[in-house]
Amino acid sequence: MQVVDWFEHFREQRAVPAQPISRVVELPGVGRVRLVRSVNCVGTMCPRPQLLTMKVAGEVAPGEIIEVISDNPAAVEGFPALAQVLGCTHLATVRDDDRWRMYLRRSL
Amino acid sequence: MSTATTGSATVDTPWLFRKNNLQAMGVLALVIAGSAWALSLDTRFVYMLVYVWFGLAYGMLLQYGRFCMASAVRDLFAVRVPRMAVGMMIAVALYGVVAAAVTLAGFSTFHPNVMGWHIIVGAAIFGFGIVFTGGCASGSLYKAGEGNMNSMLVVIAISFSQAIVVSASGWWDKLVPQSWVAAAAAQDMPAELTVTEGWFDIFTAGHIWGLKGATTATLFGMGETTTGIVWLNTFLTAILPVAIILVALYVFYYRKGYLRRTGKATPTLGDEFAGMWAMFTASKNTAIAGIGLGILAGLHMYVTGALREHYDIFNFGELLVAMGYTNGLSIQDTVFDPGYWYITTQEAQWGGWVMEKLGIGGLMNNIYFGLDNGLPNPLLNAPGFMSVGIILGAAIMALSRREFKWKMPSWETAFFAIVGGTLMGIGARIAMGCNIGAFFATVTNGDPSGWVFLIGMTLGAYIGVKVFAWWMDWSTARKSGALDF
Repeated sequence: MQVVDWFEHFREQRAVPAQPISRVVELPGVGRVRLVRSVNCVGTMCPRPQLLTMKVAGEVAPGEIIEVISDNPAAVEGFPALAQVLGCTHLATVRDDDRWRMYLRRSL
Repeated sequence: MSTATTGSATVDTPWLFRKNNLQAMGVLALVIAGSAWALSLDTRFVYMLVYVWFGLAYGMLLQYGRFCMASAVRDLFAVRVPRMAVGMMIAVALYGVVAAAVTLAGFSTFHPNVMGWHIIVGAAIFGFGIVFTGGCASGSLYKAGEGNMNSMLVVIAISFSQAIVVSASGWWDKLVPQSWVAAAAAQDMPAELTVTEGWFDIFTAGHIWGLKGATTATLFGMGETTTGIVWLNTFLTAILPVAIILVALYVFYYRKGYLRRTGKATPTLGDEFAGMWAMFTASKNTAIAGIGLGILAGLHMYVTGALREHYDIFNFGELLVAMGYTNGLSIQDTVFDPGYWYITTQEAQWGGWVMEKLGIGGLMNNIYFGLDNGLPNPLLNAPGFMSVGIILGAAIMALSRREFKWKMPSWETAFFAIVGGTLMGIGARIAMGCNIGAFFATVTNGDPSGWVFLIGMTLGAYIGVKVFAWWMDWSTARKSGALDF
């Protein structure tokens, strides 16, 4: 039911900071890496994706890798620049059908 | 760093026949068909089509560069990222150069804004609003073209809040000092405008009309000279401040990280220039969009100016009268027709027109609609079609890049869109424009009032970011149960 789905979406509080995870993903040009956090920013408007990423990047240890998922083209465009400011290496941006997954490694 | 794509991009359909490209071409075909239809009605509609097609190009470039002017000021404070501020400065520099050429050729359509405290106050309200809406006035239009219904909501909020602000009276009139009422009454205005009723009329007639605005060249009595236009308007008012801001952005936001990444402990001057270049090219799409938007915005003035010369008119209203459309014109037989990139006033006219159709009277009794801008049918609103063009151009670009996605608001983003959009509308009217009309179009044409707008917008965005970050922490803490209610 589209209407019910939309209503669920409407009342949902979006994009709460991620809890610690441990998941291995294959990144193009990088290889297999282990994630410690995944931040889902789908459906959010700027500056929430940026602020959430900043928060989570500040909580992980050097060398650890986080994933940020967004469907906001303007936020995705600014991510490499954001990674630099946060002292992270932007490893990859993987595009899915309707969203992007971005991978950042906290620099040592 | 690498980028990769998964999903339907790997499907082997010929480029032309992919669903998204067909949809993009469908939108383009719609604009072409609409343009042909308008021309078949009357060839003089070409004046309106100039707005449509420049709007379309603006929309395509804005989407291509993800050119978010809200993030230009917001991200400096929110996350200390200068990417968009750099893009915006590139656009200002190029617009300035092209505007100088257009002015020298005698086709400038530009009128300076008046200078005063109202700019800082309005711009700060506007700047506060853009943090919550996720985009400025143009940004909301192009994001609406990406299928973002939240941004559409922002456009609607901007439209109606402006129309309400400029026509409100009653208790609103207590917001303005009595001296302005007296000054407004002293203006020799037709009685039907009732300039002493309605706070915005009192503000306009009693305060704004007493202020002065001029380009830097005019201030020095060199408004008509080549030296004045090139050196005072373009170099001193546009290029030099841009250069200073770019150096400041590099020094305060980019240099440290760049030198650390490149391992330069004792940088030479050459390293510093390489660093600045790296900052410019950090996002190539944004830089390309900045270059394109700057040049197009200047050319837009030239084309409209040349058409005005061709038809021997000062305002589109004259052409509308000649074509037999007399509804919705101001008492001077004019309509809003800036002749360059502008966003907010035409949206106010949309809002006002809908309110009038809903039976709300008195809209044409105020200066904003009645004397200056008129309240034309949206189908005859030339700058309005520029805004529609931005939405459609962004849709074409987003579809062709598979970035179009219908996005529905959540209660939180919808609330922020309406409140933020309303504040943007109020701020834009008090400051006499948004970041396009009151900043981008002004500083590039030698009017220093735009820099005052930028300062105000920056202040507002700074406070907005603080409030937004506080709200995010608070709502997250509540959600995760750290706070007990």
